[in-house]
Amino acid sequence: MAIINQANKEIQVKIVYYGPAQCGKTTNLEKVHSDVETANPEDKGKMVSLATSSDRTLFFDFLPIEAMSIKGYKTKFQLYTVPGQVIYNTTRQLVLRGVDGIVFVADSQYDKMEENVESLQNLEDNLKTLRMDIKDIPYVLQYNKRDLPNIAPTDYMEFLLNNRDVRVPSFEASAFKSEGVFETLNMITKMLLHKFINQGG
Amino acid sequence: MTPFPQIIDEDYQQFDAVLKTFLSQSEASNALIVEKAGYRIHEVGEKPAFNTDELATLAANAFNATQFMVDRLGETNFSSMFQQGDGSSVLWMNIEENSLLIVVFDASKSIGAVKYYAAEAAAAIARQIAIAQQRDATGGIDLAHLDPESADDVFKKKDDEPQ
Repeated sequence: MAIINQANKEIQVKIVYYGPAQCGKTTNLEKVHSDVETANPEDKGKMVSLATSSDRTLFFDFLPIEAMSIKGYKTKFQLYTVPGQVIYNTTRQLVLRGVDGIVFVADSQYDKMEENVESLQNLEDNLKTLRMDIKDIPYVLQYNKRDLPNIAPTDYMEFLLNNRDVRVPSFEASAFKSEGVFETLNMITKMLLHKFINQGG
Repeated sequence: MTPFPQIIDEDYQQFDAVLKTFLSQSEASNALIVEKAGYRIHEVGEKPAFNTDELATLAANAFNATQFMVDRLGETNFSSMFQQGDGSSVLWMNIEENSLLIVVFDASKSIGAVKYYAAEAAAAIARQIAIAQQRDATGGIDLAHLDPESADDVFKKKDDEPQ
């Protein structure tokens, strides 16, 4: 859960990008890192990627970034990705520890729908393992790779992935082109702030 | 799991005093208190040549991964781990359920002494965290006056036109 340090006047928040293998989680973080506007260069930390030699995420990607001040508190966001490959499930559980908000990145290509659904189910299962419930954690959906030709309509993806009593915000994106990346991140940030206000932190 | 409590000045001062005493006793160069989700809570020591946010995240996840592994082996006691380097060595020591003490020290120093003093420091920090938890188990600050609508564009893209 978010860390509030009254002595240092800091709030630290953890957001995890989750989704099937090669759906664009790392690309999202890379685009945030390269394209975000910051008042001071030091507000944006270095992006750390623990990847295989073929650039597949092995453990996680990590990007610390400082945003606005809330009532005099520096707000530090820690953005993580998980490895999407099925075999790395234990690693995904590790990275989810203490998560405050989730961005579920879905691959819009038709032939990836089954993997999207399995990955979302896997997210729910892993949260349960950590004694968390997806209903209690702010999350948003991002339908990525909209620039590719063989993509499913967003209505269909909504039916598959956002078909609950309470639907969550969803965004079309082409992370490779940095489209939809900031809209997604800003929405999860806003939802987290709403949650902190409602719960008093 | 009880969440990590919010930290006030009293805790901060206590953490600072404990870590400074620890560094003078152990001759380690840096000591960090890290929440196991990867947050750096406090640090004391020489001006580090490394980014301490990065170190905190990597150290927490490395510890958590090893914890998972030893759980699988049926081990119930996992309190510390150690990396022997050529120049610098690193000691991870469990403080309590949610936090770790990370110590960076010259590789020529004895791990035995560092570990001995680190255990004392970890126990003192754990006591202060328990006090903080009793003070306010739920944590939180009053954000009632924050208008979340004003947080529409917390993160701006470099080439975005101003609204």
